[in-house]
Amino acid sequence: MAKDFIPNNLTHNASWIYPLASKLSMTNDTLELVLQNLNIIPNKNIWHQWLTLLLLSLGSGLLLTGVMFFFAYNWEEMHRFTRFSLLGSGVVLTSIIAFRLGLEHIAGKLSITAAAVLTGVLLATFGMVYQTGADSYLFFGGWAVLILPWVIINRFQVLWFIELVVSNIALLTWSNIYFQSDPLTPMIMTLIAVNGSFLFLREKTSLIHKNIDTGRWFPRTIALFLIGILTIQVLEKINYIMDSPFIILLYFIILGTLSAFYTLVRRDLLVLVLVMGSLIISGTALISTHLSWDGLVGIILGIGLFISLSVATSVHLLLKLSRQWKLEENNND
Amino acid sequence: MTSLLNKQILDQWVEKDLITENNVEQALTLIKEDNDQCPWYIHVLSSFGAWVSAWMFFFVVALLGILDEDFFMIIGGLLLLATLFISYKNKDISTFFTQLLLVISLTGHILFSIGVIEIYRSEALVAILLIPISIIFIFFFKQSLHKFLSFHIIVFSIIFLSYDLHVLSIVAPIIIAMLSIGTLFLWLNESYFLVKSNYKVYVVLKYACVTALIITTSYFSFKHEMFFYDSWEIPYLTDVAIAISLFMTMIYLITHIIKRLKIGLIKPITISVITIISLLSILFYHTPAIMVSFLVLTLGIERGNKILIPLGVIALISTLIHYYYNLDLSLLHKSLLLMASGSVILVTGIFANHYSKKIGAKNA
Repeated sequence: MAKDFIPNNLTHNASWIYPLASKLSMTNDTLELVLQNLNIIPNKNIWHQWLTLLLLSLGSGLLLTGVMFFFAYNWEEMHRFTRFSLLGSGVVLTSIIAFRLGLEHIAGKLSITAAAVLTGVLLATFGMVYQTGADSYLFFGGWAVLILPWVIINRFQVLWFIELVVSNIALLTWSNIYFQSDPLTPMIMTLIAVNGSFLFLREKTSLIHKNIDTGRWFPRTIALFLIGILTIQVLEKINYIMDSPFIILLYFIILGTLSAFYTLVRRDLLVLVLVMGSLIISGTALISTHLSWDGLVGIILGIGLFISLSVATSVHLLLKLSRQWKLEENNND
Repeated sequence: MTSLLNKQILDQWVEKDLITENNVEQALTLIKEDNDQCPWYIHVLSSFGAWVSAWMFFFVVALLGILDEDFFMIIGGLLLLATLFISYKNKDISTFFTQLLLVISLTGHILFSIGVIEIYRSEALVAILLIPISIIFIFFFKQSLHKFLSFHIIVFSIIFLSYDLHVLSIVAPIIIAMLSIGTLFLWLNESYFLVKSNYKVYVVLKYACVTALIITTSYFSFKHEMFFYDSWEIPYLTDVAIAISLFMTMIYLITHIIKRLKIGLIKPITISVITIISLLSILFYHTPAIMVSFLVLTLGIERGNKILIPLGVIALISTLIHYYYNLDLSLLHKSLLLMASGSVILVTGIFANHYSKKIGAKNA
């Protein structure tokens, strides 16, 4: 997951320059030169990187959306073989372009991503033309399996994200069919198992191979998804919480594991903030449904007080942890 | 590792006479202080707590029926606004307290506005009264968030007043032109303002100008879903005037970049960029938000700003989605249009990529 395509003027943290300029009484010309020296104000090369990135992303985005709309229209006048040939040619063409450009470059990565999306459109068109009657999980599952080799060789977070979204939809539709009597628990278990394992592998890989991109948006999105579905489950069962000990147990195990992992193994305060947020939300729901208050005014005052106190405690703990980590980092420096 | 890197950068600056030897230690301390700052998401959590507790409190006040009378709403609103001046001289207050003051300010504004509307039956009067209150906030109140909020209140009060006086067709292009000129002026002269001791005021204004420009142009672009639409159609000439003012601003920005990069004005790249901007201005003349998104994105890249670039990207994607969604065409024609525009941009991108590689090889 190389990040060589991110233009250089975004890779440097320069928030310290502005107070510095003011404190050192720099002239505006000096500050301008300093910003140019750090490549924050871009030179010709960086402008080229930006132009290429924007044009390629916008162009491929519009083109792919157009292709999806075109086939969603279910154009009857076009023979089915023409439709298949067009989409098949698209997949082949984008793959050839990626092969020609190389996967180390953004254009190559975007081409493989386009090929992966077009594969999905091709499968959907196939299902539409022949009315295969196949379950939708087969479509999403087939799509996820077919593009997996590209996903692995491409090492591009956006394509990994697409793979994970498609796989999750496949899992959801599969659980809906096979666990109709009590779809929720097995579905949640499957989603947590798949996404949790993926998150763990992603984090472990980035810890072992330090040279790969450590951009945090992707693992944080998965962590948010995991915490989100668990919190929703707890909120749904809040009225008869004693009847659902399994979900509650699972909730605390997962949140505990995430907290331990992101404190001891891979330090990430944002995930800890998400965990705290989830606990505050669940706690608020619990006290508002299970405690008896003296009228609406009492309930609102009680909830307000609980939220203020829990947020203040969380912020205090997180700030303490943040300072401790920074101190350790400074000592290591 | 990071401090070593910073030391190297600072040593380079000393060699280039940008700073003196004596400044290095001072600079390293400032860098350390900056690194030790609390992460943004802890601020978000803290703000969340402040907002919830304050709203809960006001909800309780409302439930108790203290503010049932319109007159008490005005008095309550003014009292809340007056409370803000308690922290008037306090520059370094915590995030929680800052957000608490922001909720008090918002509630004060809302109560005051509702009270005035209920008693005098005039929305225009609210707009007239809010303008001087907001000006006082900008000049006398130290907190950045309040200055930011007050700037927007002034802009939207002017828009509302113009609508009420039936002069919005004339005022709208003037406001958008002023906001876009203000945006360029504040951002392109960033270094001039940032070396001043009161640079924090400037930082608020430069972001307020950009967000007000995006919100205002989005309003005029997607008026079909706005509440003024039933009674007011934007005249053709107003659309054209807005498009011309944005076109001129964009051309000024491009020529500034071209001059800075020392590219000639009659070079093929310059002519192509200006042609593309002209075509886009004509194509999207009745959707100024798209041009503003391009403006914000270009400005963000030019200044290497990590807030402006995502803001520009999000604005561009959302305005383009909105634009295509609202096009009065069939799904088939929309898809063909998307494919055609995508192909043109993609081919241009491939050429740019090729050219970029050539330049890279040449420099190497």
